[in-house]
Amino acid sequence: MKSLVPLLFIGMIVGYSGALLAGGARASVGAQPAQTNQGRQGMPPPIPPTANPPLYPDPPAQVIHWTSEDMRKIYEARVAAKGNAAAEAGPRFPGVSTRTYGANLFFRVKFDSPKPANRSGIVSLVDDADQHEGVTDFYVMTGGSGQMVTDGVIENRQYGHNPRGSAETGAKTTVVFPGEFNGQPIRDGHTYDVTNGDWLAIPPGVPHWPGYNPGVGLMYVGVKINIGQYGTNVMY
Amino acid sequence: MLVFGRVAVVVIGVLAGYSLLPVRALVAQPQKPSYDPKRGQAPVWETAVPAPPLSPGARTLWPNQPSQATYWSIQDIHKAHQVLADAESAGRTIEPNTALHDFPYWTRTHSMFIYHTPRKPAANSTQQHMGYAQVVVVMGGSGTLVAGGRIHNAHVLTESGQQIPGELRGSSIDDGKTYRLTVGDMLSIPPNTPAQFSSEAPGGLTYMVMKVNAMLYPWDLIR
Repeated sequence: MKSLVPLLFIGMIVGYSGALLAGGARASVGAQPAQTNQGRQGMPPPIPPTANPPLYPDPPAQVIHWTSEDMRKIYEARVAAKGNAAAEAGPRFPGVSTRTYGANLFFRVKFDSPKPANRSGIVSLVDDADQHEGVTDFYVMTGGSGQMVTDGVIENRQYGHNPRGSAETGAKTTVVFPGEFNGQPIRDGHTYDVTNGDWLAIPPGVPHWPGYNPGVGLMYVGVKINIGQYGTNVMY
Repeated sequence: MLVFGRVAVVVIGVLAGYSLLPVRALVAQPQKPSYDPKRGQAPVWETAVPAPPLSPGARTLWPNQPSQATYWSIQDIHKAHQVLADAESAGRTIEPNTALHDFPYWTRTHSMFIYHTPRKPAANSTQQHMGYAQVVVVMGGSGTLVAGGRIHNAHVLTESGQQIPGELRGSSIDDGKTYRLTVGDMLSIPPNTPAQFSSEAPGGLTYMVMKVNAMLYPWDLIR
């Protein structure tokens, strides 16, 4: 019996070494990786627990003034850069994000040739339509012109997911945002020809799809109002 | 028989050793891009999740919200200011929210109102709202906003003998910052910030205020 113990020990060493040579750690359905500070692939690191975490984010203490003159300069710079954010020049738009609402600037251009849309990957000349279950959108057009298609039904509708542009980077999409939907086109919607100064109120759950006139693009300030206890990190 | 037993022990040892290696769960693995821009082919989105259509009338997260979008053209917006400016010039008073369609606009979380500040500011026009933030869009005319600092001679708004908590009024602002306003300007004013609009321009200043409820704040206290 004593002679079997070394054999068992040798067998264990051979088995362990073989597993290493076979490609490192094995995959196993059902088992979950241990929590590490690196986070799972495609997701940010886990947030460490804190006592009494603050409401995110607290309102800014100061007034923000977006002048029409500044927005005109931003629009001209974006048109000159053909929508290339990296090449943008001129004044920046100071956005605001609070626990209950946020405002940011959006600039959309029509693609020169069909390419995968920003979220769904559908090959198209324009970005995808959006549908937010937790957000009301209010748009103020601040430059250019185009179309806004609202209401109706989004075809090829998918759950919103990250990262954007993963078709180009090759990153595999792993994060799905509940309550966010994308796709195109919109069927049975209303089409509005929009221009600088127009307003559009888009209630939650209502599909909306911006279109853009070639050469001029469409710039607008998007005010987003949280309709409840909806995570700001899933607002688009 | 002894040989068979020894072989069995070795096999058991191999299996035990193999199982000692840490196990990793199935996670997304890096892969080559499935989209080749040069070929113009559509990418394969393996993790895109098709979403079922919404049930008609389903309103889960957004009770009491409109069901359709609302559009206001710049022509209608400018016309609304002109109507209010003409009325002011003629010495007439018009409820500003009647000058543009679909105003006032009420939802559970935010509301929108049109305001017109005549050439001479009215008394007690300095306001401080604890229950909501404001997003302002200037519709027509020109004027001035003084905001921040401290409200002078602050008192709680009283209507019909009843105080309205969270709504402060005053005569002026101390140590505020001045913003010159013209058509197309926008503002974000946090809750609890003293603010006073005024105008010296013929026809006054017309602006839209989106009031974003600070959450769980009763609308009947918002002015």
